[in-house]
Amino acid sequence: MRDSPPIDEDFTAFVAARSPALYRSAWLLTTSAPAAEDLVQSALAKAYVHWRRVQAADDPAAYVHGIVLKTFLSNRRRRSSGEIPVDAPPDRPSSDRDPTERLALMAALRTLPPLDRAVVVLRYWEDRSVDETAHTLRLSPAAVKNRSLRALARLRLTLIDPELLELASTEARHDSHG
Amino acid sequence: MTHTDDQLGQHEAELHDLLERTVNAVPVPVGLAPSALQHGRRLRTRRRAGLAASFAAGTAAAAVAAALIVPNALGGSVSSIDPAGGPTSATASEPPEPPARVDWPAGWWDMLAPDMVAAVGAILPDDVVVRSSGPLIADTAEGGVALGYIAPRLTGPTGPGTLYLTLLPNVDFLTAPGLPVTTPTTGPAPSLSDADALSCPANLSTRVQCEVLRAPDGTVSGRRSSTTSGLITNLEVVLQRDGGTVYAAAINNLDGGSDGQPGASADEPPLTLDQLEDLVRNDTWVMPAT
Repeated sequence: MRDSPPIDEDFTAFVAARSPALYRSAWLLTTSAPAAEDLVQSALAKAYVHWRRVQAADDPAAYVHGIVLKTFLSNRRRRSSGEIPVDAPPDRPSSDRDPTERLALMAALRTLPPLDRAVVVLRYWEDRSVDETAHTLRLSPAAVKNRSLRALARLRLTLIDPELLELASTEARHDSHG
Repeated sequence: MTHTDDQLGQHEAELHDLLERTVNAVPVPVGLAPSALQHGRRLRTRRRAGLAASFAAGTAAAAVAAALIVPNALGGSVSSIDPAGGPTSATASEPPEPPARVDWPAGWWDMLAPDMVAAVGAILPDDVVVRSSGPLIADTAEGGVALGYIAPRLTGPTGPGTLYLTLLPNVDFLTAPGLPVTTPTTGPAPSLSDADALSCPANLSTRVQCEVLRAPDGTVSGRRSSTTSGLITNLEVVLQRDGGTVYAAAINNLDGGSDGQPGASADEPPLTLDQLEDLVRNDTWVMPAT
């Protein structure tokens, strides 16, 4: 038999409530708006197919965040089959008053390996503990601490790089005029 | 770099603050829910079709088991993974082996997603263009290049929107207990929201227009329909062809459309229903791979 309508209703309500958090995590992981949208869509599609399992989870939101992470890390291992840019992405209005800092952060995050970026997102955006992060990523707590330290150091070095900041400022000016 | 605990704590707090400042200013696309629902239904349809094919061939158990097993790159051994890709799944630091996938009969419906995007670009009317390919990676735990499914973003005369195109083998779902009925002759009236519904339901609402498509011998071979929900219009054409089914939908939404009205990227989808039917009837889809 077909799935009953309440599945769609529950799913839609969940997406409405959780999509901002999911999207922002995806945005940090992918460092681009179109890629973040695609990542969230892919993850939510998987969640929809297994919606009963998501609902049965102790923390459905954490479960779907886990799908986002897993999908991101899987996709990064298959870069060769990724998106083919055909044309410029649709313009999207931004509410940023000064996107310079955001662009600098994006540039800095791009210098991190995907798994380190995932650690940063879990630890410093989603406020997960070392143990929770280790469990989610199937790493040891020591590995999480090591990757956290490495990522912090890398981000600090990158964010204070004047050339990178200048590049981010240029991109910001370009955005504001485009 | 050496950190004292104080330094580390300060650096962590600074990064946390930076993330709060920058990420909270990121605009979140509206209308993710309907798009996610569309993606989920397409994925569900393909998975069910794949499972049904395996059941029909009498190899369901082996095929499903094969689909759920991938090499665990962390340990180099083989382990079972969560098909939803949930948080219990292993995350690996090395590329996995070529994926195992649920097998269905090989055919034209296994067209590579990049080839499908190229074909769509060649078929579209002159005033409609492909703006981006959409994801080309399979929405499955097995991953790899998607086969028989694309969701490119188009721009038509009325503005941007999304095309969903799915190629499927004709699977006898009735032989697979517990799987959805896809023909209109048995079971409950199919919902228009499902890609595998080949005909029009009996109880159409005012939001739905549906027309049955018939083969030359008069048998039902598909449908073309229009469904409106608020500002969103979803056009669909489903047609059985040469042992398979071509499903296409055009919607005035960009997976979260932000161009003006919430959820709607344009007044109308980027293709008309006639143009969508022309796309579905194009022989490109049923040509064997060379």
